[in-house]
Amino acid sequence: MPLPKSLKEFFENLKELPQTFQKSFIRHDKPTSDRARSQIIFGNSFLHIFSTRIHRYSLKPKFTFGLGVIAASSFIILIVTGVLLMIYYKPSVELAYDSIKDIQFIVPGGRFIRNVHRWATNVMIISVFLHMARVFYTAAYKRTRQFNWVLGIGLLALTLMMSFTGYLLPWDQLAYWAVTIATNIAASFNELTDALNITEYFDPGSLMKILLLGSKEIGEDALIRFYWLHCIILPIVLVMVLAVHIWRVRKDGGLARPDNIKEKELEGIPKDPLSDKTFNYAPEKTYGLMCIVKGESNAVERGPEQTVSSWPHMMIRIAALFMITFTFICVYAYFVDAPLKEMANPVVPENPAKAPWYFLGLQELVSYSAFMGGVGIPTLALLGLALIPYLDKEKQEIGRWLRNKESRRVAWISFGFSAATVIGMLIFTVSFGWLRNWVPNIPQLVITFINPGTVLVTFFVFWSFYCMAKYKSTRMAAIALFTCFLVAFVILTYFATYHRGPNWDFYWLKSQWPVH
Amino acid sequence: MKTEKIILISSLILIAVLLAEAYRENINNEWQPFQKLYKKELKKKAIDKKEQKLADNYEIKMRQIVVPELNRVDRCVICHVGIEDPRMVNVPQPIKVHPGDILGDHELEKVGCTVCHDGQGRAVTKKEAHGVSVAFWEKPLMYPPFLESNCVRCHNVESLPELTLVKKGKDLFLRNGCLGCHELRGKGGNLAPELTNISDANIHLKHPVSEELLDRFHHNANIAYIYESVKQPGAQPEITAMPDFNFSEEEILALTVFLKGLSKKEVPISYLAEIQEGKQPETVHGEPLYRKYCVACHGTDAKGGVKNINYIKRTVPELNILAERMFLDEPENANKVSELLKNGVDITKMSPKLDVPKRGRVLAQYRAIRNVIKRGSPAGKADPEGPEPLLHMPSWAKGLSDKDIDSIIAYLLTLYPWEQEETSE
Repeated sequence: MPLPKSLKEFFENLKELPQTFQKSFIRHDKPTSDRARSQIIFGNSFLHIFSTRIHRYSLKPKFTFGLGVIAASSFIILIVTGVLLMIYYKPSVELAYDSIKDIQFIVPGGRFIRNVHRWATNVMIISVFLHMARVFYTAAYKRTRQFNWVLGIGLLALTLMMSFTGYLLPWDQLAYWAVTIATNIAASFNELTDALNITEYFDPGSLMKILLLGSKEIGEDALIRFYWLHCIILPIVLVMVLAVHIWRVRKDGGLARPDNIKEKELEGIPKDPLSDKTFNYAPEKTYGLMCIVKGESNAVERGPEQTVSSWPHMMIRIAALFMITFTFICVYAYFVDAPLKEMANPVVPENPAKAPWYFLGLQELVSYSAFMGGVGIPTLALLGLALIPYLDKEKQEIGRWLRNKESRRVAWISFGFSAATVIGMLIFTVSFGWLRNWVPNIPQLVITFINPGTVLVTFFVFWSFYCMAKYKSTRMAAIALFTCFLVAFVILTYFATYHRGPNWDFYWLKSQWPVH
Repeated sequence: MKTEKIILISSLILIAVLLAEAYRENINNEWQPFQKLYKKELKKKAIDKKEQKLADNYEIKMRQIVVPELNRVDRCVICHVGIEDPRMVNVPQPIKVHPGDILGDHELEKVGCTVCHDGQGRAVTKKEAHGVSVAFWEKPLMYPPFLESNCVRCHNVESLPELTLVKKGKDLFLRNGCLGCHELRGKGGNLAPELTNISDANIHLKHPVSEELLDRFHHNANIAYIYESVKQPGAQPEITAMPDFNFSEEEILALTVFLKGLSKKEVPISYLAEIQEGKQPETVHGEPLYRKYCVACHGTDAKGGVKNINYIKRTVPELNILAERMFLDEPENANKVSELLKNGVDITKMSPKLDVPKRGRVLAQYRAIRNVIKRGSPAGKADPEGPEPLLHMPSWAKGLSDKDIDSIIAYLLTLYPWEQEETSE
């Protein structure tokens, strides 16, 4: 008896199931043609955030140093390890510390995963800072990319907030007092309102602190809030802003690049054999323009310029960067344990109580004036950073590190100028003190506005305007100001980390801290 | 270098690190060899087939004692596997049996290890568990004589004769007026740090003690700090109002053991060896009260003499002249008032009327003195530009009842040196 037709079909379908399933799952052919390679990228909802073809210049290692990818990689590592840590971590004052101890001692792989999580944070913060410097010095924030630069500044702030909220969770002395310092920085608006005698009516400092802590002291409420911010709110916001950040790079036609790239600059970077060809008929083109891109020319009837397929050329580089980052963090985590001090004790402060290292530059400024160091100068700096692309609209070449001699000159001189003023100011303050030491009854308002921090900022601003006048260029002024702030940030962070001891006094070495 | 090569090399390094970590955590850990050693000993000591089989089935695994009532997880037994096994006598540490017969009436499953010994129960390496040279564990393993200090977590000093040092320390504490400045469980003064939880406090973080002392006390920074503060009050912080009591070395040690026992009450009532039936009645005799609260500053027999920097009178006032201050010129009158106060009579009442000369002035002065004790009084400066005197009369409104104050005044009235006055006249 012949099998009914439908049954026959059924068996055939069954036989073909693996193949048909795979075809329905992966909708493109094997990546042997450029077309299939493009399909991999734009047919995948995760990868389509990248463009299908990438300019060869963007693959130049010495142009980006892969810093953005390293930052994103460490963020992915942080998400994965963080989710694993959430299984055992208990966000309660009584249990938090013990749960970290358990993670440390008996949870399989717990110590290692916690170490990876901790050190990936530092890699992320450092790479975010360096990525920002790269974008600035290659002028990649110009033309259509202004808002993406603003998003980048937002991501920097989010990264710092993520790290800061995570800092409290172990509930040890280090965490507790670092967060105490940082929340006091948040509350430092008080210094200004107190000096003006308006705290009674207008008290944003205390409001900030209460919003952050949910109470006047760091306790259960603060822990839950930090946990909620660290594990839910901030990651979601960060993922979304990051997606937009990368998406906009693609919409702006890939990474910033100069208009006239010489063949010499692209040495060693893979090349599409069709690059130099001019097409007469559209069908000969190997890729379609997925959308209209803002820019000065479009690619109709021309070869794929100096682009190559993103798959595999970009993807393999991303994979390599991810692997390097991950391996580096794992090796470090194998040898160095994440810090965990005594359980938090609200009665006995750490001395010195230091904020997380990336806030130590600020803490140094806070030691001069809480308001200026904690609110005034950082707000000014973040605002200044975000507004750079709107104030410096000079038309210039983008995508090359400090292209002309002049800008390199300005950067180097600013480096020297900033280093000299910051170090000089530190030496001066350490040896002679400041206004309060000379005039004990000086009103706080005077200190708030005239302190080493504000004096430095004034120096930098004047220097920047001087450069603007001298070189008749806003870009030069921006380079001068950015360099000054970057150098000051690094020096102050270093100084507060290594040379500030108990009572925030100056010491050459940690071994000189008074013991008994 | 080619990108593929970078990926290959970093992947190989990554695999190596992960394998190394897995090896370190699961195979090359500290405790497995000890459990294997114990298994070997078990096999050696087996006397019949049943024991042989038990030994064969002995599992090498993570071991812990969980005592939820005490909020403790003690993994000490991960190495100290033979702690309850009386056969483990002639074997090396850490698989030896617990010395003495203490485990007989301290059931291990109910008590655990760290409630008596301190140390870090959750840790699984010797260094971390004993916490002896780990900077960040505040309660490292205790060694004699301080083991006594933890007994008072559940036991009463009076009912456990073995606690000789704690008892001696407590007596010294109560006889030398420590409560005059220090508060202990709601009683005592407020001039000095509270001692209720002194053994939990990590005050040593603020005032680190010297290496020498640390070495002497097995790196227990808390004990070292307490010892230093008792022995040499001015060691740190340098400016202190606490006088040097010139205790002998033995007394200092006893006081340290006693103070080390003052920790947060972390055992539930069911763990207390004998539930005290109500509080012991607070003594209302003047002299013990004076010794408990006042003697450190006002001196033995209220003769005064304790220095108070930049105080207008230079030393803390003597109180044995209280009778004169209260206009009680005759011994009989002083004794009469003293006797009445001692018996808890309110002498300010109109009837029966206090029958002494200058009754109004006596009573006014009596009220004034009571007020000074209740409200305290700040010490005046000798040199107005100079530093604030360190000792002030604290307020006793909370610490002492009216009756307590009366009995202290009664005691002080008996101290007046009547004979000396007569001979000098």
